[in-house]
Amino acid sequence: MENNDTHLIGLIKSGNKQAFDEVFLKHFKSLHAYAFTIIKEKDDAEEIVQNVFVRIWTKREQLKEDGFLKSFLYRSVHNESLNYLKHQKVRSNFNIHYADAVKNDTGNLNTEIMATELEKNIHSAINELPEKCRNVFQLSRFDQMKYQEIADALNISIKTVENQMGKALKILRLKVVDFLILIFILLK
Amino acid sequence: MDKNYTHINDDMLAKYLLGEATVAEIEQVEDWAASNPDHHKQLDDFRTILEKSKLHIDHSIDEHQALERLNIRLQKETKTIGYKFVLRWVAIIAIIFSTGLFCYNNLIGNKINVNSGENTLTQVLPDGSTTILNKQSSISFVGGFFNKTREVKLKGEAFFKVSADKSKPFIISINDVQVTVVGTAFNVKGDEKGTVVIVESGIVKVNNQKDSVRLTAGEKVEVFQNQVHLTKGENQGKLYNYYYTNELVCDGTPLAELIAVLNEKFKVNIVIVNPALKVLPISTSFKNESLKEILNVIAETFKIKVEYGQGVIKLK
Repeated sequence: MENNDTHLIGLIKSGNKQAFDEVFLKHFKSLHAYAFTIIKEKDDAEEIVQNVFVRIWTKREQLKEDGFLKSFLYRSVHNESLNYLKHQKVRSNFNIHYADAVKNDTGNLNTEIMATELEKNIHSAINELPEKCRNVFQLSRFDQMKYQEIADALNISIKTVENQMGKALKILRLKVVDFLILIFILLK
Repeated sequence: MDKNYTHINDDMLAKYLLGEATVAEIEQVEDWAASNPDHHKQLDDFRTILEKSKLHIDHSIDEHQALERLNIRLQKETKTIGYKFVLRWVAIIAIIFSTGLFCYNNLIGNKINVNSGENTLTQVLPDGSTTILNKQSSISFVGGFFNKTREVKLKGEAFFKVSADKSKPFIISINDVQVTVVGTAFNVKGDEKGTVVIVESGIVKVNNQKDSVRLTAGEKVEVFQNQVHLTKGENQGKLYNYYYTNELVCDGTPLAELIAVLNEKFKVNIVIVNPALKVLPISTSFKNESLKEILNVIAETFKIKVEYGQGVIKLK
């Protein structure tokens, strides 16, 4: 898998548009979904992914051939999204207040809403994980990769993958513990 | 009881939930969870987190259409990049070109060598000054940004109208004499006998190795070969400028001076036989008259005789 990535990056570096298209088609949906967990807006999420790929293509000479393409892409989307949010802060603040107001209007606090709220909270907590930890966790959860595959892709030991997954779960649980209690009560 | 489960940690639970645990580990984790409601709760929380952390892929989005949208954007980006790229090169070339032009103007373009030959020559120097060379005169000029002065080497005779530039003195070297200009119009003449500087307007400083004088408008200095001290005097008339005005203006000018000019202007050899005649002052002006007409006027004024001989004209 890693070798294949190295090969693809090499092709992109040499200006092979077909290889670039292949990478885009392969990863677009998951990257878009990932950006959506941060941006929470479909069109903006696509723009984020576009920004990342535009930069990859225009600065393809600077690409590093070693490394796992998928983690590189997740990392790029992550950074791009945070940048985007920084610029959109005023607007997004307004949106959050607006959304809260609408929610309070309905007053319908059912388990379904709680579940989506929980999910949102988990995803923002994921984005706050330390980079290495986040990287491993994303490959496991977003792409359903086995420990062995992750270890091979990132060139780390299985033990490290185990550690990072355990660490991630611990941190995430601490961050969303209030929601988990609520869900527990509501599901009873 | 808990002691048995010391090796059960977050890493192990993650392994268990993700199906990475061995059969033995699975049993241990399940025992651990069953042993304590808190353990069970922790395992449940982890399971929920792992489930909820999956990405929700939006299958309504077509990645091929997304690629088309990306390609449209890429075309626009490369266009602007191309535009920027061209603009950058235009700027670089413009800088190189103007630097080159500057260096050329100041290194090569600011040197000039001219020779008047058979006719008088009006020459504009690179610094904007104008010089009018009399026949058989030559001048070389070196100036520009990289020189502190404007150096002129003159042979023969020339009139200068120097453009003002206080930071770069205009210095004329002729014979052993240097004329430094402070912004003015003046005439400089040098031959085997010596050098004559006549100032029309402004101030000129004239020096040789030992001495120097400042000349103002209407003053002149004559420096003969091997003369040490410089003495300035009044210039009579405007005879010196005949070669660029085509006019001989005498104002109390001694006859000998007029005759010297006539010899030069008409390339003849007029000799004043009687020494007493040399100092006679004459006040008149000639324009476009022939030599013969001029000599007739002189003859009538002083009541003297003009003898035309073989290659020589004698005044008696």
